[in-house]
Amino acid sequence: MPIISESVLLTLVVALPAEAGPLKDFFQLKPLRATTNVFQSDQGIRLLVTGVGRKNLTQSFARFAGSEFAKESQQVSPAWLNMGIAGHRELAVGEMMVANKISCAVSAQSSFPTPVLSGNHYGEVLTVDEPELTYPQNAAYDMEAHAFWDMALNYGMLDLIQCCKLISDNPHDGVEKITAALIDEIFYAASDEIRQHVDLLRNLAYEQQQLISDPVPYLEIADRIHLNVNQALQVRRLCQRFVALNRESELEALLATGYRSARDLTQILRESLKSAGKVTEE
Amino acid sequence: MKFSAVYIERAIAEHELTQRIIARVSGTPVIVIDRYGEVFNRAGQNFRIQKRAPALILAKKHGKTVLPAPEGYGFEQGRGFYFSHMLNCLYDCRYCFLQGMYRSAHYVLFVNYEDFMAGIDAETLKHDEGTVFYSGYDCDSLAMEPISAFCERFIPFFCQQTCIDPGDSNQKHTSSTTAGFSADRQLRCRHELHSGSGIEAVGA
Repeated sequence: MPIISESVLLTLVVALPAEAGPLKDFFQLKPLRATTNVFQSDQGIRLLVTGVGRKNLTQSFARFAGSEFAKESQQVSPAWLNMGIAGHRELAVGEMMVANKISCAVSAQSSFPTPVLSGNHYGEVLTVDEPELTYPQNAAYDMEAHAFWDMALNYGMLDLIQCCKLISDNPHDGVEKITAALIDEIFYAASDEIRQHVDLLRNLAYEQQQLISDPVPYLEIADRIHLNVNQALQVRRLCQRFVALNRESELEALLATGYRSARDLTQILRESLKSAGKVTEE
Repeated sequence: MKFSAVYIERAIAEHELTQRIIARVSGTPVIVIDRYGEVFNRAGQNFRIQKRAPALILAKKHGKTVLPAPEGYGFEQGRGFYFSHMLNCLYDCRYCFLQGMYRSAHYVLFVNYEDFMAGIDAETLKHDEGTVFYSGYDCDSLAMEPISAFCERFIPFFCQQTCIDPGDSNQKHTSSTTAGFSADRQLRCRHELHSGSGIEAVGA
């Protein structure tokens, strides 16, 4: 498993403080300065507590996006995960369902999260404005997921926007039985699965970040010696070629042998790529 | 062959091939959609992430199913046409233009083969000279055979329709490109070829 940079941020989104409690505990999340509903850890996990319903969620996102902290922050959150309780006609209380379709009962619009998370149950999450007591469809009934999807699309990477629901009520155990203690209990029981999903999404986000960011050897070189603009472009390109050819260890060995100047370094790297017959002239 | 999910267009949910594929991939989550574009054509998708666990999308091809090949792009046997019954490939070959050609890495399979066959018939009737039909330029037709049953359906179709007289130029040929095809299916296809269907598989 790669060492994940702290700059890769995953944002968890929940509606209720009762849902936030166990997550704060799992991931050692602390309140973010000047906010009351945003929590963050040193490990690149953030939690946004939005309140119940689509309207509250939309307002929370807008407030957070407009906050001083969000404007100052260098961290971007490509991965977003909506966790929360939901009712279901067939699933037992405590089961987790990964959403593969998120629909809005009011607008009748549907969205389709990319199936990257694995679980025991998959299905549709149907977002309603009032608690659903009769469970007419074979879906998980919640009150935020569709608004979450619409809002998260503005900030995250489509394939890393995901939604998981923990079943809190069904025809046998109705909504009247939901208490903070029950929510606590089902979140703690699902803690391994939640961690698994969080780790997977962060790994995927990290891999994507690696693909678009400068290769680590290049950053080390740039730290060590002065490169003018032209040299920086050349060295970055050459390092990218080594990485693309899976020859990172060879690159590290070359850098370890030392070089006198940037010109010397580009010469060494170019010669090495040429000798393996892999280089194409710039 | 494992898919992370199977998306099915509502319009072809009851199609015989759809039902057969669902039975074959039982246990895979099935999601009903209106049009394949709402999953496949979305902006902002990441090909690499999806390629780790691609989904299968079963859809209906609307409009013209058979299109003319570009000028000068054909065999000597006659006028060239192509049809795309599938988009994307289950392989991930470094050299292939399909890596990232579409916004999504999921596989789309148009299951209404009968419309493709009608399109082929219509083009053949329009042209007196021989006709050549290319399939699989946007996919690997044969690699997905266990799921798509492409050869299973199209070889008998071409066998039935083709006039086998070597002196007769009014023949239909089809050509499919593949990077892989199971030995047992190759043998079966070869048998069909010897029956003179005019179908050839081109190794990629």
